[in-house]
Amino acid sequence: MKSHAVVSGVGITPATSPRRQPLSKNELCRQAVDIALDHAGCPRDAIDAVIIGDIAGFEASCVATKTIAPSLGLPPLTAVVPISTGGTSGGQLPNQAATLVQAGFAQRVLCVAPNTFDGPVDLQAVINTNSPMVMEQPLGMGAVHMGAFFPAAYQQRYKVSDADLLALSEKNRRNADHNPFAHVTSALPDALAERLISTPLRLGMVCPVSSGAIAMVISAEEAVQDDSPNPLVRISGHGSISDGYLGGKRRDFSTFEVVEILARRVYEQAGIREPRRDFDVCELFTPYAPMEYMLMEAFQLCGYGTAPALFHAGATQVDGDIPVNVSGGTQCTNPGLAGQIAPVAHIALQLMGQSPAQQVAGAQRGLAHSTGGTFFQFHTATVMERVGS
Amino acid sequence: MTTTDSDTTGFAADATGRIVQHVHWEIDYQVKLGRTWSRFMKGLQNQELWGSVCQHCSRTYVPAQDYCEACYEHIEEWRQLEPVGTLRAATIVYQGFDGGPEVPYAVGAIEVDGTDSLFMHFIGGVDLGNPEAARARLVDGLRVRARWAAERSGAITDIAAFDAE
Repeated sequence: MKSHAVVSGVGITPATSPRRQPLSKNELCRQAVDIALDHAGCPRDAIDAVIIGDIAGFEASCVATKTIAPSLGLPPLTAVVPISTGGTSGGQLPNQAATLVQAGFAQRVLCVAPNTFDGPVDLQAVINTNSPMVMEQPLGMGAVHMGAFFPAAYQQRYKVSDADLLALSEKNRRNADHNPFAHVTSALPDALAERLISTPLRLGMVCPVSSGAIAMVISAEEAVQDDSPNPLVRISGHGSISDGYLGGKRRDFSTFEVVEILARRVYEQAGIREPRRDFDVCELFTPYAPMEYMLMEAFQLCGYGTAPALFHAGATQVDGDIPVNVSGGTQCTNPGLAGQIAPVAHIALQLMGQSPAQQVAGAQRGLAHSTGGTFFQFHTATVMERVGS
Repeated sequence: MTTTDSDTTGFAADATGRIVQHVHWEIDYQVKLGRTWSRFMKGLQNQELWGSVCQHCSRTYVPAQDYCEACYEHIEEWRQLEPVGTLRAATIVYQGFDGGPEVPYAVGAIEVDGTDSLFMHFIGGVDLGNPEAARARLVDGLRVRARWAAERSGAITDIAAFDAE
């Protein structure tokens, strides 16, 4: 039976630093799963398939899915699907779950997004293995330095000031103050926030290394519409896209060219005609704060070079007409896989009217995004809408 | 809580008393560059910069590659390029990483003259002592020229940096 795919449950564990995390990866995943199943009102034996994300090689394991799956307490013969697409693994989980449901292969799919940064003593050294090793990684470029090219080019092309970038990161930290699952908040001292890392990025614009897990239940709408304890949130469009792997494949660092292509595809599926009018809330994956401006533009929420003006006018605040990263975003909380699925989880909860952060009043439709690769070669998008009003 | 030193079993309690196990894998890899990148690197070793040119659409790539991203055709033609170009984007690194170069240093995306891709490399010849002055210099349009490393081994670092002209 083919059906629309809906988000019927979300489970988020509190984010903290890997140093302070008392739980193992398996325990953390199980905790997130317990919360998500309980939220969905879904018994374990109703789960047809579990999709578990992982960034292979980031921790002291190869395919973590194979050790996480047996620890979740699911019935024998539950289908297990590992997904490892680097920084987009988390964003792929609900999208692939929706595909299984829409194709009629499953009625209820459990998505598990573990912490993926807890193990390494020197995370930077591990992330460097993710960079184009022969041509570019030997050139003194770690992830944050590669990430700095984009805001550097964006600033120059559109005459965006350092103050415009700092103000954006401050907005997100203030949003994080209201999110019990956020890691960094406005308690971050100014002197630390302003420390220069790699021009124009300063520490306060760069995500922390967090620990936490998120699970979601994606169900066939027809299977859960009569007894769901929550308003149903339909996944009305989803997709992913890749760009050339070497950093130099981008002719222009001032824009995420492939995101515009992805947006067009996904908007067509979901019937989005005017993104700024049609969306009530957006969560964009921004490990570096300035990406928020660039992604707003690539997702056609505003014209190129106009996102800072939109931000300064208050449009992206929680009470604005197009709130962006009300959770505080990746910039404030980044537990790896769980950070990647977090935009989808937060948008789903916003559309259910159950945001743990500030609730956007009457939100009906939202956009979630994830990206990965040190040069952001890979992106996913998920468009969701509340079923009924 | 106090930190407990690792005992002979390799287990240790961290600062909050939780037990962690120290895992250390020492692994070396041999990564094959393949025909096209090997030829490109041999060129650098000889202080020559070679790009590959698509016979179908004339796009020129540095680093060289054996297929065209625009028309998907196999590329067999090579062209030697003057190692000069124009900086398109750059960042100045003030916080590096273990094993990386000493900070501050600059890296940039360079459009080598006559090519249709960007080439990432170190940018030299600019005083990085004053961040604001250096940023003002390292902008789209700055002309740069390759400075060859004294010791070359067939690696991307056979070019020491692209220096501002």
